[in-house]
Amino acid sequence: MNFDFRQMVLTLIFLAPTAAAVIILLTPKDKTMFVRVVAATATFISLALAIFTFLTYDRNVAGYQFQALAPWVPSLGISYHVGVDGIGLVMVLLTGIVGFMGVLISWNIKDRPREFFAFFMLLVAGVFGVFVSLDLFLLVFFYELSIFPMYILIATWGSTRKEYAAMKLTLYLLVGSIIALIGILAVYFSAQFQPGMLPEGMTRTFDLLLLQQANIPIEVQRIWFLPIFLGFGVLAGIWPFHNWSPDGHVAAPTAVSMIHAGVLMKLGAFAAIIAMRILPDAAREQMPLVILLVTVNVVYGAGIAMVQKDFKYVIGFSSVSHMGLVTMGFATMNQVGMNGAVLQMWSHGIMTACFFSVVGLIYDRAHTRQINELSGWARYLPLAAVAFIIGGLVSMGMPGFSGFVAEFQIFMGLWQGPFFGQIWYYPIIAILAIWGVILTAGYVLRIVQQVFFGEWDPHKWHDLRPSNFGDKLALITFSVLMIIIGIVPSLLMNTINLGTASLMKLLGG
Amino acid sequence: MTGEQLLHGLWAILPEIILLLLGILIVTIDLIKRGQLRGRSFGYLTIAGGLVVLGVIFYQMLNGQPQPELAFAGMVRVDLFVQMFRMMFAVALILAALISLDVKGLKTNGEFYGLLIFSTVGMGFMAASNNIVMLYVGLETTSIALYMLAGFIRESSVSTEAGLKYFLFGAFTSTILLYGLSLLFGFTGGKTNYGEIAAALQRLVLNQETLPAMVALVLITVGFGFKVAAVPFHMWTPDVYEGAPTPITAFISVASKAAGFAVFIRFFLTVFGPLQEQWIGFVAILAAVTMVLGNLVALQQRNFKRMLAYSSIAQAGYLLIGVAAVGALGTAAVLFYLSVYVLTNITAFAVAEIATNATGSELIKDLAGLSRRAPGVAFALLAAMLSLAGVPPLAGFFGKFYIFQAAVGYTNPAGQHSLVWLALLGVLTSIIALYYYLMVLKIAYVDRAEGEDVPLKISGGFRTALTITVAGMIFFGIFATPLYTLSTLAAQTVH
Repeated sequence: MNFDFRQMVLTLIFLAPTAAAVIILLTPKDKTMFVRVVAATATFISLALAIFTFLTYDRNVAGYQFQALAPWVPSLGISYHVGVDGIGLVMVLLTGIVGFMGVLISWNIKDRPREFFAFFMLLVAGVFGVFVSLDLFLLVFFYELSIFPMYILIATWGSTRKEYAAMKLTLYLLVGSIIALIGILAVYFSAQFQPGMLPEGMTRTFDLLLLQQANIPIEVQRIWFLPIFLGFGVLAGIWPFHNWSPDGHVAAPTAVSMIHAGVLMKLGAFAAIIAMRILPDAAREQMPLVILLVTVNVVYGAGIAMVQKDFKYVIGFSSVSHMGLVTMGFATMNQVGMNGAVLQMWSHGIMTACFFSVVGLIYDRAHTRQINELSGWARYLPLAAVAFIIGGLVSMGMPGFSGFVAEFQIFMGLWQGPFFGQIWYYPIIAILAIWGVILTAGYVLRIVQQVFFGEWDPHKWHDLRPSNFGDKLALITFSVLMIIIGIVPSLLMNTINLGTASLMKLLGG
Repeated sequence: MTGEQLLHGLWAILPEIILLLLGILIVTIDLIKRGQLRGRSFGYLTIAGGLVVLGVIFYQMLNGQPQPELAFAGMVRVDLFVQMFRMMFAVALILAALISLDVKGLKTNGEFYGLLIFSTVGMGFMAASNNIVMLYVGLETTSIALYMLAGFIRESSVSTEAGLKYFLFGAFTSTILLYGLSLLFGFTGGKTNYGEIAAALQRLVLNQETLPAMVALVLITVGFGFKVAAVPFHMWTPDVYEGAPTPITAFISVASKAAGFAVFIRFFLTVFGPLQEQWIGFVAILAAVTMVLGNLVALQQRNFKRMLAYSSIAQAGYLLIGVAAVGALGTAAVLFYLSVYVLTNITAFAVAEIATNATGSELIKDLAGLSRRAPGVAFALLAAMLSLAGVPPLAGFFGKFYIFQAAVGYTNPAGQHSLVWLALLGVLTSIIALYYYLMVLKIAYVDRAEGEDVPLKISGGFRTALTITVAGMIFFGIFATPLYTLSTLAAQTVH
């Protein structure tokens, strides 16, 4: 039998939610339970497959594994090419976890659950697709596929200026992605290959692995590096293109916020570093400029989070700040910093998903998110309080939690400076960025104190009900993960290291 | 002309002959049995005819000769390029008939289907013309039938107004076109055949006497620009689209536009081939203005059909990018885009008709509650809007991608990628477009309306049409290769 499971597994990972979306759309309207079960099963299958790939990835060989390659539009050099390296692997695992927990958290959604889960499945499928794509066309295909369900999900099931936020988010992200696409086209048309590098009968290609080896003229690199990097970087919330993100986070329904801040923003960073892979010469020149932008992210995001009155906005701006650290890590241009960046992607993903599920739990009961109206919730939802505090400690970069390992490496990378020579302002940026972390401690502690401790007045709330099994499972999983990775970071670092090593090699370091 | 040549020629235009006979048949039955035939017989007959024609085209494509068939002393030229357009026309005809089956005032009317078929015949000849006389005859056959169709509902003043406006604008631009053609005829020493005119123009270019030819080019662009609804020849579009019966609007917006592009591409590439360097910039500017204006004005529309009219103007702009990016890539992109556009726009107008029937209003805001009343129709609307906006996994994504790819990849004789700016402008305007497409979806999915709990009954014709189009949009959005390969082969026959 000509069926190689290792080749099929990445395809199955995103096919499971896609199939679920189709099944759900074909289900009669009133079969809500069936719809939920289908969604949960599909995301669980994806999660199981993600764990399988993570465990069986051959760390001695490294590089891209689980590859599958099939022609798609051969005349243009577009192929269906999937595979993961150390970075993609961690991201796929993260998506698997957050996707499954997202279904559990939205179990009791009331308004048109069929449509909600169908779009949610499409979103998850698109996100998986981006992380496994090795063909740039395929990548953009999945990238945009994961943006448009967000619009419907936020505009229909969201809250707080949801239509405005949904539109803003969609427009920002699509502008970014299409500009990046034009940049990719420019690269595609100017890439020069050694004879024999391309498969028979092909003159151009979108294949990432081939483009990485191509010779791309330096002028083209200089012009198109920033459009591609920042075009995708919009989704990573790079300042000054971050504006959609807090509004979007706040307006989205809980599960969508989780996926959105937890995974989708990593999609931006993940796609942006593609620009570093294919345009390494320009990356060396221009990444030191990008770092100036993201310094604003780190400090400004945290500063704005301090003064927010809405609980969810605090988390929204904290994401801007933390995602700034991710891009900063990549912009250090050395391996320690990049390791930190990837781990920060993971750690922020879990932490934010945890934050948003807690916010969702409270909002469903209190119907307000104003920080000064809430108090004492640790009495009523102790597990949520614990999970939030653990998330808070991760966010502050407290030793013993995953955030510390990530941020520590990023700052170390900053001190160390780029591999091709120290740049004078990198240490200054490290100092500024540490201020961002201090501000983080400020806003996290403020929320913990106000929302979770203080007087508990059960008569103030009319919609109190205990959290259900799914909520608890999600919160416990997130908390455990944050602690385990904090204590034994090598569980992930071994894998991440392989990915960043090959990225550094491409950059010439 | 020998008998063999005649047979050969008749075989080449078999699809048009079949349609013509069918049209005559329908009109005759209608005359004889006026008022006695009820139900959907004429509609079914039209659909059956369309399917037969599709079959014939497939048969001809599979068994045709590799080189183009020139028939009737070079009046008509049938190649893969023409066959692809014929397929689009036949599909548009079938879909338009399907969505007319249950529309009051159209469904039992033989004249209506007859005119629909006659205009399709005209489009076939437009696409296949290889001679300026043939071109003009084909164009007028199409247009006159469409004028009548636009004003078909005589009791309705908007429909009559639409018909009259369409006629006046059409007659005006067609005269200008005719003037341009006559100039061309004069300057080139009395030639009517495309190839001969091109050869004569080539001599003029060599002698650096291009000015008269440029005047003809501008005049001819007016005529073609009217057909494809390019700015500034688009004035008729919103009024006609709004006033005409919706199935006709759908048909005009896709088939007539496709026919316009068929002649646009063929004429500019062959006849004006020698003037290519001069007209590329001209068409690029036309494309730019059309995209910008179409999208900006569409933003402000409240009437759904008017919004779609401006959106279809903007779409003409994107297609013109493909025309300006001269080369097999550009033409293939236009062919792919148009084929997908046939499915997409007909879906949008079908949903407009369903919503109007349900609420009695054509306003966008009255689409509210659609997702609760008719989830299937709302989903079709979602697919259509996203495909128009170019979002995967819908076919429109590939369409836009191919267009932008052709523009970025175009190199001028000096070897520069000189149309990247057009691609970037296309990107920016498509973001504007995304805004108003998403607003429609927002209203259909989010907004509440009275009576939103009453399920909507969707008749068979609409259901069939929407199923076909949505399936097509998703299929070509994932497996775009077969259609794109066909487009590429077809594009090579005009280069």
